[in-house]
Amino acid sequence: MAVSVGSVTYLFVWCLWKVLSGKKSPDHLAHVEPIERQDLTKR
Amino acid sequence: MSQPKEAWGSKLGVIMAVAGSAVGLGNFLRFPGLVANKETGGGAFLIAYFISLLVVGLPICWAEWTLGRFGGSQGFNSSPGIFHSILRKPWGKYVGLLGFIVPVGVYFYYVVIESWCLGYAWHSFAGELDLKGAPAFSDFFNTFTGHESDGAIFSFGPAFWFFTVVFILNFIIIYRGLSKGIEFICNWGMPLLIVIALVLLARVMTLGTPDPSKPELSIWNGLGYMWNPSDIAKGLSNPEVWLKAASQIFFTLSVGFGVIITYASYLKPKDDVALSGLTATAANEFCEVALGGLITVPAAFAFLGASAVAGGTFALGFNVLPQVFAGMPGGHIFGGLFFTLPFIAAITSSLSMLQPGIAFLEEGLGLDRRRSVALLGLITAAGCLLVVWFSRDLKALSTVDFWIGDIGIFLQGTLLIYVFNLGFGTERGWQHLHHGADIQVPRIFHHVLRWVSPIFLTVIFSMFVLRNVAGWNLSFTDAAFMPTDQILDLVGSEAHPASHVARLTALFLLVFAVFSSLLIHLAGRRWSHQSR
Repeated sequence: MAVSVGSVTYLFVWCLWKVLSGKKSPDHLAHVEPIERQDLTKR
Repeated sequence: MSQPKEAWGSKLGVIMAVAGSAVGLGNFLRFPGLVANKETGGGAFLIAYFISLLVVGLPICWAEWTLGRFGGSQGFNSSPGIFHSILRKPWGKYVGLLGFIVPVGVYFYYVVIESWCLGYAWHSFAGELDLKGAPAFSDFFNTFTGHESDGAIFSFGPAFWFFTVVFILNFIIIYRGLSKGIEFICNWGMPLLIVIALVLLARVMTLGTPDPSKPELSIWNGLGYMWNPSDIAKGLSNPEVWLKAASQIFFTLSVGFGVIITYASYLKPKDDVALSGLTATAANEFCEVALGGLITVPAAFAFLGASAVAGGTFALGFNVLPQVFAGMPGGHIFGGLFFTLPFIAAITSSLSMLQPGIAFLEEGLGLDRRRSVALLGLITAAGCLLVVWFSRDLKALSTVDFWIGDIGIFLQGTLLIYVFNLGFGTERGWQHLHHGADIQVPRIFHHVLRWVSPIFLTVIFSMFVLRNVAGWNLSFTDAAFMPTDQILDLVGSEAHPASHVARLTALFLLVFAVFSSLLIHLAGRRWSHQSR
């Protein structure tokens, strides 16, 4: 019980903190590169 | 490329809306009953449940968020439109047919159960559920839901008015639009739901031993009854444990429902979907495991013993728990709060069932909001009236639930993961998932999405159909097939005559499916005309 309840509670709180704090991962800039062929000119 | 006409007001808003769609009756009633089952529950069930979460629930959830946001960037918000934009084949739009049928079809009966929750909350707060003895509670439920005769609810008793109010309320909210309607309700409803659940949890955890003459019936023994591990190795070798665990994950997360894909289509192209999908999933799991798992069954055990928690979802929710609340000090307040909990969970879910239909009617037929809401209101009113009128033994409700709520969702989820891998491309999907992402999803999920999820889901779906349609006994060594009640209701046998209500309901669903296909055909012509 402790493992199940503890793990889902930790995951929920961690996710909520990440969303509310708005912190990006260190390499997040790489993730906004255009990925569709028709968008390449928008780089 | 056209932009969606509507958009979410905030990042937290869409997460709340998806979580609100996922959190429903099953979190507080079905999940605890499955864990507490002595044959297929316990530690083995939880291990299978969390493995299913990792290999099916979370990956498909990410796939659906990704496809939805991509479809939105192409100017589509409904499953038929999004699959049309991805597959680029004349038949592509029909792959999304279930993304229209399933949410609207589930709404036919879901809103009825939602009205029961409101009715029970009202009667609890009014002190009208202070009944004596189990038969009195059972009689109340049968009378309230019209369980004993068709058309009983149309005696214009309270149940009729609760249903009417809830049905109209849903359409008033949905008419207000995505941000002012759904997002507004979910932004208030989800925190309120968690607060109410925490109040109830505090009450349940401080119950101790309600009857000192029965020291074995304590809240701690109730927790032990539900959570103590059973024979894990034996349980994990039982296919039924896997089937129940995977089905619960599938249904509780609303994956394959046609809702997440529509909600995600209103995101901007660079909005995060990786963290948002994980957060919505985590919110649902928190409500299910940490709140639902600690409230319902332990409370029922402490007051009524192990036998009381052995019934199904409806029995536990509407017969057993009212007895529990009637037996505790201030029970009408806590009972009222308890039924407010699933009502809030249900209304945030039922709203999510309407939006895919609205989105399709708007973009497929070119209707404005008012006309699309009116047309969907007519369609759902017809389906709801069928369910409400044929209330005897809840036959129409269970028939729609089985063919749409079980088979349809499984089929749609399976199609979705194949479209993601084969139609969209796993590598392309993986890149889209990380486009603007706030977290890096571990690379292992790339392989899970490509190989494990489709295979696991196909096996589970096949087992589900073999079990629930063909009546397989889930034995590999001594296999036997006995048609289930759902099939016998339609074809009949000497011992089990066919049910006219089940046949009529199945016919209605068939007509609805054909009508929906026709609408998609018309939508396809319109999109071709617009060169979309």
